[in-house]
Amino acid sequence: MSGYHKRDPEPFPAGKLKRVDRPTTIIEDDNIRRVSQRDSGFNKAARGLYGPAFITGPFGDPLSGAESRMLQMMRRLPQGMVAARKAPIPEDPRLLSRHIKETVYFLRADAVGICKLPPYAVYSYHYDPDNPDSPGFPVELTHKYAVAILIDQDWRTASAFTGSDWISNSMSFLAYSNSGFIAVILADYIRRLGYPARAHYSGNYQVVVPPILLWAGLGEMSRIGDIVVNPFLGPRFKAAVVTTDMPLFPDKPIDFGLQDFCSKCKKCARECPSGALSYGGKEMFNGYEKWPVNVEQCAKMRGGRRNNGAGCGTCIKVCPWNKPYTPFHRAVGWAMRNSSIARSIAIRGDDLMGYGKTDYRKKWWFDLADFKGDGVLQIPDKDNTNKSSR
Amino acid sequence: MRNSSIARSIAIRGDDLMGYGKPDYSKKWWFDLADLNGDGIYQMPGNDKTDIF
Repeated sequence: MSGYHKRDPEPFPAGKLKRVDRPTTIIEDDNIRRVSQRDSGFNKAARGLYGPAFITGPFGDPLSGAESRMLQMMRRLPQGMVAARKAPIPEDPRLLSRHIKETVYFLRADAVGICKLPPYAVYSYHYDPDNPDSPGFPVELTHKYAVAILIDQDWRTASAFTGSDWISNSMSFLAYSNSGFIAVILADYIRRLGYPARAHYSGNYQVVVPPILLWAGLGEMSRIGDIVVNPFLGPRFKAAVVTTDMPLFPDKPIDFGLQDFCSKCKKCARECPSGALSYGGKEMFNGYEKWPVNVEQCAKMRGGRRNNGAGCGTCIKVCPWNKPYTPFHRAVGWAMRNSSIARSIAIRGDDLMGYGKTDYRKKWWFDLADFKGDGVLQIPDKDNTNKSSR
Repeated sequence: MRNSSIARSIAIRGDDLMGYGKPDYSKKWWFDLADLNGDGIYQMPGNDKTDIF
């Protein structure tokens, strides 16, 4: 074995997590109906189903506007020609998987995992934003494998924002655009090696991301509705996916005690400004066991134009798994992953230590928005975060 | 090094002594491939001595 094979390429010690054969929440593979992308919360809002106030989109602030413009420019890049002949590389799935992961980390991802692509994770119809009243395009995607790419939304900013102020959308779109950038390059690279591949990223997904994250060992389902929590990033990430027929070696799902943790914690439900998250137990929905979420209330909070912020990530901010990767938090995280008692202590300690509150000293952005859609930026009248602007 | 001339001199000698600047093949993760004919087909250049497999 060469040194290459002995070296651990991952920024986080994902290799030391407890691996299990199936995700820690029930997935009834044979009972899941493929869903249309137009039925997601944001697309329903864009179609006017939640009222006219939510159609116009959340991009009033200049930074998320710039980030989403980059995503718009990448919309045409998910697929392309496959090289006529395979490159002379080994077909050993383990080696190729390792190489693909190293490539993704080289491109500056924060975490990556691989799984077989579950057929039910493929949308039935791809939403056409230019023609929102049409059913969209039928999706035919038969790739065997999925590579999931996570990008951190930035701890420092997460600690400085209120959860729903003017930087919130920018945090999402930072991670959406960066993960999309990596996915587009990775899919192109795989096609140059002679294997079919397609990138799936914000504005261009043909796959439902959460089940892929579960099977790829990147997290467990959380109380935050359809959100997967990663043991090192918490919910503070966005994901892109590359699907491919390149022979890869799938990772296994992980169990880091999150089902026990979320059943006790409920901090996200307590702090959610829209009241969209549940205090109750998990339910079955379309073959998935998950905590219920009121998608309409969540989408209205995140998608509607407001006077005091753009978007919302309060659940991300207050989740006790949203922590920096410092020696102290690594030790606490290890205990939380491995001990139910430690989880109970951590839940109480999180509030006692003041985590989840806004640290205005770390605020670095301007509170600005284009309220009229005329490109003129104004300071919001009812801004509640200006007091520490530097 | 940023603050001391003596430290810079020591670092310059130490850098070679410690072997910095040499390739560490144990960390190589990429394939040596190139589209030599411009036809979109990637080949090994033929002089690769550092393959990872």
